[in-house]
Amino acid sequence: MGDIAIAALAEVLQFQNLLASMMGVFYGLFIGATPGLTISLGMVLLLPMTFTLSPVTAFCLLLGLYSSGFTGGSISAILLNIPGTPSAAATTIDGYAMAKNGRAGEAIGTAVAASFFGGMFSLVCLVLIAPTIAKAALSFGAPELFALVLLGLTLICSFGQKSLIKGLVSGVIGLIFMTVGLDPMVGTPRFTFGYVELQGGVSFLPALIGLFAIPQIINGIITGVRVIPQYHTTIAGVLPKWKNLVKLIKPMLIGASIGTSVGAIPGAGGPIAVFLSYDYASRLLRKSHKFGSGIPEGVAAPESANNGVAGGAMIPMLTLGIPGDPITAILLGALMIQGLTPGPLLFENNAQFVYSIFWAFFVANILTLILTFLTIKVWVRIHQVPARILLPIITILCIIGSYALRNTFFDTGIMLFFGILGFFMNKYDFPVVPMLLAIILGPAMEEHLRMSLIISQGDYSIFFTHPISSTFIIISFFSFIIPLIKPLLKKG
Amino acid sequence: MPWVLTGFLVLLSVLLLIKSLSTKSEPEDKNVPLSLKDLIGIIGFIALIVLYLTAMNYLGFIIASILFMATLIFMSGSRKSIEIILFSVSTTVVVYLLFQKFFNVQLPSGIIF
Repeated sequence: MGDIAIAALAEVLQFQNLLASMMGVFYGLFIGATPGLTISLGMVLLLPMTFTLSPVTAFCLLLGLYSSGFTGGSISAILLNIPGTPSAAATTIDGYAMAKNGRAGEAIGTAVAASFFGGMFSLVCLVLIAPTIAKAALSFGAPELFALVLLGLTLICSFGQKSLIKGLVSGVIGLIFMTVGLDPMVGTPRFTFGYVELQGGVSFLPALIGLFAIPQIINGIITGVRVIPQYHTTIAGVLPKWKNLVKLIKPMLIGASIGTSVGAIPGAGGPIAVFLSYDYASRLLRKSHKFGSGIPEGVAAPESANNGVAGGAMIPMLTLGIPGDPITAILLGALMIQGLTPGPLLFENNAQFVYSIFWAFFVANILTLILTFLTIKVWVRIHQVPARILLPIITILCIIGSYALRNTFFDTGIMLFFGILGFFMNKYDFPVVPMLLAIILGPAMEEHLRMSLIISQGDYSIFFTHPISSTFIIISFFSFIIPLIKPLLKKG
Repeated sequence: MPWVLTGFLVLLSVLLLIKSLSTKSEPEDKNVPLSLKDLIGIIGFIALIVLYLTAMNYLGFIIASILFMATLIFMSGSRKSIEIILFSVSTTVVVYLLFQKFFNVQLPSGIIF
């Protein structure tokens, strides 16, 4: 075990991997600090560039973005009262109040330190918990794996979405798209309409780019360029003092532990975690602190939570192949592009790569801490890059990115199709994440289902006679029954 | 078997759609429908992309991209010619170097150039 961990560290510390981590961190700070560019969008634009990189280099880049994006998001939340990413929304409450009181520098410093704490805390949880789960999951057969994917999908459809039915519709439509292509067992083409390009199925990368990026571009073009207000505060004293940080340990611990646990539950994700931890911290520390008036505690709790989500969300993603939040869903796609199958077997067959991911996340957290403090002057100005320049650049990256995987514009067409679909889904409050997940997880789900049925010779009771799979199915059943009957219980 | 599965999915989705439509009609409809101007904007945007993809086969990646970027920046509200030229040329060159040279993606070269 120790040898593998050291070999993995040596690999992550190689020059090109450190460089990739650094580029990822800078890019993440840019994406995070720019209002309107979310981390998911930034990651989707980066994916096409990771094909030719080695898996470790690719993940150094992506994890650099993942950990620094949250930190960057807090900068515009504090200075402008506009969260740079949705996960920074809770930071605006006390962060902006601090900036108005002339404590902008201190607020940013607290946010960066708390982010680092949250990231490291979740990394420790990841390293401690993940191998155990992976070992337990190793004994899963086809029926258990099918029930697991089903559970992951229903959790994502039902948890944290505004409407359960809309989530389910989105997920089921995604599953239908998944059935396009050659039948995994028999090899018959399904729904290809004679297009050779569709025999491999709907490739998920163009779908991903379309669903995440195009709606944002169309919205930008329709609503026109938003005028972003200038801020008029001086930023000084960014580097936090040690004795101030020690006082913040309580809210940071609350934030980090809530963030990690919420992250580990499929479907919840950052925006829920930050408000939950802000709420909890404000109730727990109500006597001694006035939350909302601009206190560092109100910045520390949500900021350590959103970075805690990062490590937490990677636990189910790496061990079970079920992502914890939308961003890890994209990371899951990145793994598959590299030809790696996420899930318990990853720990068995690619142990060194898994340790490299742990180290890469470690390095990304440290680099984020250092580089943010060194270059803070740049990021506080970044929101002045006008959207009329950014939107065309993003558009061309989407087009070329979707073309690059297979060198065919057919995929660009798929990207556009999902883009328009995604735009109308956003417009009518249909969440896109369940669809995305169904497209990514669908093929595995179908394979496990059909394998199980072959084992049982077509008898569906196999899913209920195996204790683990029947537990999963029961939980997934309740996860969407409860939201349905909740309003009835309230009335009665 | 695949047809049973897909048929099941289609049936389920149709059921869900009907269900969601029937529940949706009751609460307030806060969604503002798309105005004609917005719709024209979206269609124009997509038409521009289709035009760009077609043009790439004749003009090659570099020239088609510069023209495409310039149009998009203009459409997004920029009126300074220096800004338009600077960003359309620099983005195209960076994307070209990044994908063609660094990532070894063969970008279309076009017939004329």
